[in-house]
Amino acid sequence: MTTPSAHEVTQLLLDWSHGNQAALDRLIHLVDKELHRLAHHYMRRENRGHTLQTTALVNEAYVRLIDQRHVHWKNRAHFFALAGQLMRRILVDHARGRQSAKRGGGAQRISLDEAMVISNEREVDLIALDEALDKLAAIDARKSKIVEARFFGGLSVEETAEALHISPVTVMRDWSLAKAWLYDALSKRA
Amino acid sequence: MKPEQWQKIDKLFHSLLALEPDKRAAFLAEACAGDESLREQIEALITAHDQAGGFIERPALEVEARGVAADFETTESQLPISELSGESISHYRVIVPLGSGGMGQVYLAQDITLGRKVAVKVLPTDFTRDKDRVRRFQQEARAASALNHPNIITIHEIGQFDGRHFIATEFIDGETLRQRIAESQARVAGDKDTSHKTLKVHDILNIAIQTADALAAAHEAGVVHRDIKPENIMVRHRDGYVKVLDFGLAKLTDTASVDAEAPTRNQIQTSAGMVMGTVNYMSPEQVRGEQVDSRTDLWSLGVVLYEMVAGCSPFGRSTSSEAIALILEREPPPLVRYAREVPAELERIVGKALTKEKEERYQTAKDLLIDLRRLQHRLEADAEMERAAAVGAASERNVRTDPASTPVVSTSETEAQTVTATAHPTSSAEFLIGDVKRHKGWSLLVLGALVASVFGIIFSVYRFAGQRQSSVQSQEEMKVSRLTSNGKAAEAAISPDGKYVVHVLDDGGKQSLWLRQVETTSNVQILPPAAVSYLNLTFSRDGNYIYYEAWDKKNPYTLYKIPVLGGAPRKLVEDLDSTVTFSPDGKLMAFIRGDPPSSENALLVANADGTGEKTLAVRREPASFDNWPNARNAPAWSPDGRSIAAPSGVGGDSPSESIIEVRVDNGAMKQLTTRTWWRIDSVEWIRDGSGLVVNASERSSSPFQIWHVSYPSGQAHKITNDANDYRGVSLTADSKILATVESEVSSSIWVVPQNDSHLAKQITSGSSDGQDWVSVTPDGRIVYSSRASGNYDLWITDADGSSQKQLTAHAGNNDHPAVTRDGRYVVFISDRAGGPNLWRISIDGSNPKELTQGEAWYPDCSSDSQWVVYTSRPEGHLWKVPIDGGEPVRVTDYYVPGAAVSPDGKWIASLWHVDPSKIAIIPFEGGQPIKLLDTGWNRVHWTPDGRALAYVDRRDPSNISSQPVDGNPSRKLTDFKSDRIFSFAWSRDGKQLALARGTLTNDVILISSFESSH
Repeated sequence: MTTPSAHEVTQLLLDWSHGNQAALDRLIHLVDKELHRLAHHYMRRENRGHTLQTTALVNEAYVRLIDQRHVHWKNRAHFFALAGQLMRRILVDHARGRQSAKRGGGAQRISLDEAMVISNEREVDLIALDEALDKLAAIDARKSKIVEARFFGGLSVEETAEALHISPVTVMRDWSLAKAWLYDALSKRA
Repeated sequence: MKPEQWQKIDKLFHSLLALEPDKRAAFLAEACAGDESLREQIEALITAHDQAGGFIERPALEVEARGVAADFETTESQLPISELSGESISHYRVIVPLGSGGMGQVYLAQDITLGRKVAVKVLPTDFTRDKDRVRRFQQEARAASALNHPNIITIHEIGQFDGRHFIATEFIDGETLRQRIAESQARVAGDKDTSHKTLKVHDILNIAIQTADALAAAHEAGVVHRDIKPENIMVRHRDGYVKVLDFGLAKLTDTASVDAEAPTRNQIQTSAGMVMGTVNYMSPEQVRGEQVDSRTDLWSLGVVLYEMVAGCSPFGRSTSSEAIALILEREPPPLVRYAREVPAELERIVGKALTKEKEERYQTAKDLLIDLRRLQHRLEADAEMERAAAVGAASERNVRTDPASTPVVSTSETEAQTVTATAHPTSSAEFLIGDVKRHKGWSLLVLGALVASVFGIIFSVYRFAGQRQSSVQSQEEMKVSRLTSNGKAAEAAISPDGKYVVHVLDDGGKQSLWLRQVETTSNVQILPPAAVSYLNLTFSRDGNYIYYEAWDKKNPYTLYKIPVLGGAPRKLVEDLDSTVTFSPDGKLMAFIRGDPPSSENALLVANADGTGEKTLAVRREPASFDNWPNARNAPAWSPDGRSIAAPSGVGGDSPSESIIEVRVDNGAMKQLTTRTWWRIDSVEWIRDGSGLVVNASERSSSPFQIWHVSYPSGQAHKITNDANDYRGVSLTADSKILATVESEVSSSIWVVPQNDSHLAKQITSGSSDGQDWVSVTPDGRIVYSSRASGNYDLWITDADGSSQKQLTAHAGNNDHPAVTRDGRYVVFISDRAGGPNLWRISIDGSNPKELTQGEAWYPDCSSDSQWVVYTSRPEGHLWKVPIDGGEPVRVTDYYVPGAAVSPDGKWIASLWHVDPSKIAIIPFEGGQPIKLLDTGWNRVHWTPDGRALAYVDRRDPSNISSQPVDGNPSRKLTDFKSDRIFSFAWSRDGKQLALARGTLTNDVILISSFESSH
């Protein structure tokens, strides 16, 4: 048919953007799958003492999720913008879910000091970051969008530039201030 | 913060970063000129900048995935651990992972030197970091390995390899007592008669006696187990022999035993080892952190015994602290409460084992063993006497008369109403069979009534296969029958004999698995609704089992098999990305597994029980075996057994897929067909090897259809040829019947006078009318696209449904009509001359004219009827072209697809790319948006008065809402309670609304006689 109707994730993403809650559920499901897939790979590789090819792994996950392979005929820029927004929403919700699961306690889980759960590296608190990002958006919407696209959407500088119709130099410039601002906001919180 | 202030900060921040660090302070002091707050803010940002390092530099997906991994690692996890498969640990070659738990990962392996099968347990690194602990563990494990007892697992070796500690033990082909308990519960789930809820007393005693025997031997040798629980007791399939596992392992986790000075409950709760297990089986002295001796094992065995009888743990609670409180303080409820038939003597034995004061408990395993044996002998003697006294009565006693144990029998159409009224939930179809036998009379009556009640809904439709294929040789009719009609089927597979269809029912996000008998329409639930995804269904070759992939958070991408009539699912393979296909003899299966980090994916072959996995062929990106998430990616084993056909991506700039044939003997790959598709969902061989049935989509914009591909010529043609999407394809053994899920859109034209939904009237009866767009002429006629002719063509109808007339014919696909304001022309998108371009016809269908050379979407006309505004593809920019053709003029150089021109012709409303919840209003002459409105990311129409934008609000049910341009709140214009609205348009006077409205349903269909169509 001449009207474009892509499939799978691409279609879901568009459906979601058309307000279809079912599409979002499906997307959440797919992201969730990827998260667990990634998590398993982390554990496997680390258990075996292999150096993890993190970049390739995560990039692959994003590719699987946002199906860029099949959006060549579409407007990539638009697609990227959607991807960042969507991933933010899903990942932050996912992090909230995990947090409340920890509080609620799984069937066989012993109440743990949360510090024990967090691995050696200090990971970004997605929930706190999400809140800080809202505050940043009130001050400077573009910078917040850039963080959304790069950090949540997994986009490159060039893709972010494409998505927001700004130059890559502007993306980098905005990124450095946004990053400092967010880091400062999160440190104050902690 | 004021924008100026922030701009200042932005500027200063970057200026400072450009300076050498030692020059920053002076610069800042000068720049801020006494504005202390500004200086502080910038200083904080510079400090943050210097400290931030890798902060948010790794994508959020990775951050969250690490969080998930951390959660898993701190809980008792059931993770796929297949990565060692094919590799070696010391002189053990790993065959397949058997499972994992707190105490490490267990693999089935082959002892290379001795040739025997062994189980190798690799301990978690967390436990082995502490050298002292490791030493104590080794001492204890060696002591245990010295135990030579038939009920204690034989330890072959305790070793170290690659920095990891492992234990090699005898391999037991059996199940854990935990599984055994779970199965016995699953078997009788829903059965109110709780006396059947558990294992038989005979089995319980058998298991307890053997366990006590093992403990007696160990205790005599001075070895305390410390972690007796159902997970550590295995029952061998072959002979029911009990094997106790993991002697001494508990010592690894038992920090309390070396730190007996200050035992507190708190310590136990936070010790690393505890996280891995459960406190439910711990003795009071153990939870108090006191020194433990052999009597702790007797308590734990008491808990296990209790659980075998009662079906639940005496102290089991959701949190450990609650469980601990019960262990220390509460007497468990008497067993008779759970099992009326429990012998009083068994109640006494359990009570004695579960005495909180260890001095009053059984003092030795031997004592417990003696009591258990004595009871067993007595019960056997009693049974013997009873048998003698009541010969012939046995069959009577087997009859259960509990009316509550009626099975869930349901038909897809009448699901809840007809049956559940009399049914009691059970997950197993065994009861169906059982109860039909027992209550033959009324059960058959119920079934009969069900068949009758749904018979009217079963129907067959006939379609011409390959309508437009010139290659069609036979016009024999292919028969299509619909098996379900609730619209909620997600996937289906047909049994080799064609008698059953298993399908996934997706209802509100919860999925369940149903077995439908094709002839009778009876429908049995095999797996109850759960927040799980079931996919990749297939029957084993012998038709006895259903293989499926279940996805939930703990076990994603996991293959299970379940007996066709229900029962306990058995986990076979983890981490697979496709439906499995079986070798002709049914002994082997093949599937696809992607490995994202390496960009490799493989076609693997394993035994039908999941063991013996080995890689047959590997493809690397950009080439791949299909491993799309949420797709079947189904490969197919050829009827002669020599090769496997697999859907595969061929990579490159224009992505496409093809079928690859992989030889089973050497893994050699070759292209089976030169034809490519955009995406292939599944392939299935036809029995005689003459070809394959394929579910694939030709282009990104075309639906998934069923194809026939000849072998070896590779020629392909469509079996189905319609606008519906099909999911999956499954064939009977004789290849006569094909099952698939049809996703069908039904859309027809409605008119709504006075914008009153209650007056809505359906005026066309097509199934694809106006699905993409409708437009209304100045005199109130409705132009829409429809597939009634076989292709998408434009049609026109009067508002009362009369005078329906086809406007385009024999000219490719034509859709997305927009009538010029003067009513002279219809502009639309057509692929008659190649790519989808913009065309124009007169309102009577004559004089077609091509208006663009480049690809176009979404046309709309200017108010003076001089221009057509459209969206270029793929860029998504707006252009306009004169209605009589000519040079297109650019309107925007940014992405705003789907223009709608305002009634006064001054504005264009279009989708705003930056924020998908908004619509941009742009001057007709172009330039930047002057306003953004919240409408959701929907294509809009201007209301006839030009004051608001109208859009379809949500789906199922859909309604039309309008968002005033002045920013006032939006409001709902229609009040439909059901169905979707696909498109809409107003009459010029705004008094009548034309709608394309209908449903989207997913149902299982069976297609037969499809082979004659090629």
